[in-house]
Amino acid sequence: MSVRRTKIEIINDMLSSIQTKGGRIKPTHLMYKANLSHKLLNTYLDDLLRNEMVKEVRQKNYKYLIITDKGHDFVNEFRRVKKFQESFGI
Amino acid sequence: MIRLVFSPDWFFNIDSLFEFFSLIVTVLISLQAFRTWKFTGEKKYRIVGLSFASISLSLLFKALTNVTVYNSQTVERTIGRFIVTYHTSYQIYLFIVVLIVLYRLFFLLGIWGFFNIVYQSKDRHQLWVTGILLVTIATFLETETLFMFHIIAAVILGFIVKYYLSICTTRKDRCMKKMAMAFSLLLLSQISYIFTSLSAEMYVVAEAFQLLGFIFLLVQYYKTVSKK
Repeated sequence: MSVRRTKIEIINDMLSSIQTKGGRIKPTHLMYKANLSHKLLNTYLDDLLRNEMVKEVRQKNYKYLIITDKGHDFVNEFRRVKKFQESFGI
Repeated sequence: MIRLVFSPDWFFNIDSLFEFFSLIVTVLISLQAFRTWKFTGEKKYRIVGLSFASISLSLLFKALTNVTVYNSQTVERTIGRFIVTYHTSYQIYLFIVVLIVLYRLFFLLGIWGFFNIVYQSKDRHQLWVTGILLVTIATFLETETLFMFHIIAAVILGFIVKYYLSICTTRKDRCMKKMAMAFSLLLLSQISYIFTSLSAEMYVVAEAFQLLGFIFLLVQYYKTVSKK
């Protein structure tokens, strides 16, 4: 049985997806990569934009999402927290 | 009067260094747990942070006890290996007793808090009430019932070891083997403390087990901060 992802897990999945695509991704690709519905993508994307973890840019009529330093910091902190949880079994 | 010195002469102050090292390890773990709590917002990490902070405080009180006892004792060292501080002033004696009580109280509260988290009790409120009661009894009855503190600490640590061993068998997780090892060493140290009345060398054995236990915890902590 799959476990429901928490909010920070979803945010991490979104930011990690952008990272693996070289720091830049189209919103539709992000939706598939992070395994989200359109509605949920918009909800979390608003959060990420408000917290300046990603920024929107337009290039050749396409909208792209770019991960910021703050977004990279979030992913690093998430990894550290995961390692702590795994190392201490809590 | 409580017996205050269990260490052989040659080990005086070395144990305080051991305590200081262990204190640094627990402070690091505590800070990481608070950081995790701040990031995830999950209350259990705040309790883990508080538990390790409590163990840090207990180790600080233990180191202070050792330093105070050994320094107030130098005048009377000719009395023998197991010096009882009848010759130190009553004020110093009282100060040392307060430090010992604080050491026991914070150590038991710390391991009890961590025990609560690893078992994720559903009836947490009741567990905390009984736990605090147990810790209070163990801390203050020590003057009457020798080694009650170490026995209760060993029981709590035994349950924590049992938890990690159960994960090892179900998940075959190497990390959990190290955690089981760390808490087993801390458990062995508490068992060894019980026998310090029989031999001063048992105190050294207990301190060595405790140090090894905290080294294992440091290794686990290092995994958290390492870039790999």
